[in-house]
Amino acid sequence: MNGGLTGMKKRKQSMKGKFKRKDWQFATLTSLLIATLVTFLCWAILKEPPGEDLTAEALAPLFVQSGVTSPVTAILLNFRGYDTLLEVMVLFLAGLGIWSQATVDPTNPLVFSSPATHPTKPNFHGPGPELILATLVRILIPLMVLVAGYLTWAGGFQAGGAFQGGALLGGAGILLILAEPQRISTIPPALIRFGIVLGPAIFLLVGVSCFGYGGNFLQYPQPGAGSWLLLIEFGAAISIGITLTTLFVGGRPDPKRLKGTDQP
Amino acid sequence: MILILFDFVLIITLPLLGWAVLATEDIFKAVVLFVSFGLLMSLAWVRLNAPDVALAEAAIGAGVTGALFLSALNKLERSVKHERRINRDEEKEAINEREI
Amino acid sequence: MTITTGYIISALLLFGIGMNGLMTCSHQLRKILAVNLMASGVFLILIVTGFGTDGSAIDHVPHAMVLTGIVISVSTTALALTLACRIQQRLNRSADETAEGNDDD
Repeated sequence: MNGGLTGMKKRKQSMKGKFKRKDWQFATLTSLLIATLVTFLCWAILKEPPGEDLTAEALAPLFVQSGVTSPVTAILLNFRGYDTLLEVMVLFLAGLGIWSQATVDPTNPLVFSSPATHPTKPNFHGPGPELILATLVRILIPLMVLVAGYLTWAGGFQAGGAFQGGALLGGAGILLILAEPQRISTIPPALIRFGIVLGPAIFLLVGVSCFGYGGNFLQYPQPGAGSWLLLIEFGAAISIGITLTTLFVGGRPDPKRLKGTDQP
Repeated sequence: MILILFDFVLIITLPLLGWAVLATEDIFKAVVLFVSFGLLMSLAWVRLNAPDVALAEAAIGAGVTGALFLSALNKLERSVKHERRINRDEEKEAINEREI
Repeated sequence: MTITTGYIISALLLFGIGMNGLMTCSHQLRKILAVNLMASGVFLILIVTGFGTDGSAIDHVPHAMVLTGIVISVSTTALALTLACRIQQRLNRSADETAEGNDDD
């Protein structure tokens, strides 16, 4: 028994030594190759003379035309609206992929529900959050929602916009779920689905309705472009917030457990 | 002058933090370092006159991504039984062997 | 040697460190972290290209692109993390099954 153990240990050690040497060679090779690549890229970028600067004065009339004065928002939603539409769709698809991959127990959403072999312990002691956490959440969440709304609205004329507001909403949702993980079972799944679809749907509808005004897809009617952009931004912010929260939960609520939360 | 000094600190700290994220033994420590990396990155965006990107990076790159990683780490640790501790034990074993 | 050169070198170093980590690290979470570092390096390069030398003339198109990229990278990260968790779950289940089989012998 003892001899067998030491033999095994020796073999393990020699294996380890072999792997170590191979690892060392591999690491040297990759770092050398990557150092070459980085040097080459550095040379290529620094050799390139800086292009002619686009002056803000020359572009200002274009931004006024777009309906918002913040240049980044104008580019995101008006000039390159296609990119942003596709981006919202990518976020939507990521949510879809996660929902199709995994299910979570809605009474305890921070762990996977499916594996029966690994019994899961509840993360939080007691039914509700502790006093400090509860108070913090009670004060912080409304404030975060308010600031998210402000950021989304302020995107028209200064730094801010749908993504920043949506990210803040997502942070608020994550905080809420961390504070009261069981609460997710009280949210009807249809509402979550509606919230996720809302932003992309509004974006697409606005894009298509531009045809009715004689423009192309996402070519907003000229006098009132700002209000269209604001509508899109609020829809996108709400959707981004809800999608980020569902990404954090990491799976769809298990419908079997959702129905049986009260009776076992 | 002080701003240029600030720039230099950022330029040096960002790759060092990135290296530290990948070099630390403990994966939990790596995630925390990544969150601090995101915050420094958002400072760099402010220095590069991109306040929109700074806002998004502070909220998404540091906040939401860190939360995602920590929740995934929680799930993985639950499934990989004591992965972190095994690494540490191996390290200790290696140190003991060297001492012997 | 202006400050933008420093930022470009820093960004390229970040990209290289991330790529190296992607190739040499074995833990899935570490690999995903490495991809995020690479993305940060690329974003930094994009923003620096839109940054005028005097700071007044700024090209805003890279800013919009990087904003888009940040949101895309968080969604791909979330998807990758979920896949990593699922893979680990499967591996554990099959490992448990083989362990049970060995116990029976």
